[in-house]
Amino acid sequence: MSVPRLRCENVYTAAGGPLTLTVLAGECVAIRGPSGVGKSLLLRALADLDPHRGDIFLDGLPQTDCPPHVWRRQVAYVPAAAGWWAETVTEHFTDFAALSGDVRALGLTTECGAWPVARLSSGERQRLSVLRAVELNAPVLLLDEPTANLDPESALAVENWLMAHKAVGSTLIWVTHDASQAARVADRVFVLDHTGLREVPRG
Amino acid sequence: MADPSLHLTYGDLALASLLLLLHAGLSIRFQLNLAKPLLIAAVRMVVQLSLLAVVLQWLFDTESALATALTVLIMLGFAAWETWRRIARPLAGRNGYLVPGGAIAVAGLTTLGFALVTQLSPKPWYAPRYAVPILGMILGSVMNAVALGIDNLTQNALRERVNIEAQLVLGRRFAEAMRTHLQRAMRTALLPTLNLMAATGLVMIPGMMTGQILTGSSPQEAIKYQMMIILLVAGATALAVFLAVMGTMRLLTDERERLRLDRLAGEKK
Repeated sequence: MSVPRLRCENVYTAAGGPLTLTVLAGECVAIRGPSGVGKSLLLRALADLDPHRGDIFLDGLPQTDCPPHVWRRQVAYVPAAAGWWAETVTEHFTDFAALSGDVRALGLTTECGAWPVARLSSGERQRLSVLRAVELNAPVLLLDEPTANLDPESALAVENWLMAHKAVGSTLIWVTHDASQAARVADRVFVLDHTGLREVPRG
Repeated sequence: MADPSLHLTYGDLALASLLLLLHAGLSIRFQLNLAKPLLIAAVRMVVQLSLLAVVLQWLFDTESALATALTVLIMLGFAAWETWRRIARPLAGRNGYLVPGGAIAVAGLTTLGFALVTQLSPKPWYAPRYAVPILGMILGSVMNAVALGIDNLTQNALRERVNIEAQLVLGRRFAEAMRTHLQRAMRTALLPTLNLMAATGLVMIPGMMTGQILTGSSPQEAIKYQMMIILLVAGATALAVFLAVMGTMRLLTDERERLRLDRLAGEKK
């Protein structure tokens, strides 16, 4: 049997544990569950942003054996609230001009690169923060409610665009409150609640 | 006393306080509620400085290495505590004192030692008449700057957490993600020192050289000493701020380059 792309074994976050999850290459796993049970904390542990117990492997390589900045480029986390540290949009990308096809696919205008971040709506911020992470070409994307601030049409555009990335090999872990979205995008659906992480039927 | 024609009596001191009393009268008349705090602060200053005079006189008379060393230690301890007190969100636990205290001690003692063995070279080198007042001048500035620097860094890290982590998740190094905050903290901390150097002599005549001139020194002599003190103080301040801010930043992260805001103490009060 091949090595799973991402595996977390008996991981304890600040919200509890143990959490064990195996994700295969090219798979999309959705995680649902009530607020406050630690869905975001699990993603933060996978991205190594918080101290945690337990073991996490990428292609069999332990997280602790990989330099942290290298790990985070492989297991790219898209937080629910995007952060901005520079004045204009382009400064947050390596090569914004090369992404014009993706920018349009997400329902944005390519001119927004020159805009100051302060001008962006919350929906634009969210889409650009997903794009920013996808630009890394990371094998694994950790998506924390990536369509929460979007109208249904834009949400669907983001879903389709992410599915296109999955089709060419991206592995997705997608936290969502929306059961129908989970059913649309995920190969397997998990629920995280106070009893732990368990797989549920997709539909 | 270089010029015996100018000799301060206690009556002269009482006269000097007349203006404050006048203001206290105004405060009462216009209900500004400033009379009490002003008078308390003035009395505190008089009591503290009088005690200092007694302690200094005793130190200078005994000229003991042990007593001087103890005085220096007590001054450094107070400086560390006072600095900690001025930081809204210091590092939690002992590090909250040790980082600013260590930075202040290293910078203060290095500068003091340097001044004592090179420019001043009193005999014995630890003569309290030189060591204690110079350390006092250094600590006054250093304490302020270190508190400003650490306070600015920790407050910015707290406020900008999302923006710092946004850079970490894109694979940036912690030092890179913190660079602007580090620069800002250092600049904020050194701004009073920079401003002081820029304004000295133009709009402000420092208290130390004023005192020297009043007791009869020539302006050239007084200014030479003033320059030496300003340069020593500025050097010590820059070194202490560098050590304190870098040390704090080092403790705000770990071997996995996370942003460890959990290492900061909670809100005071």
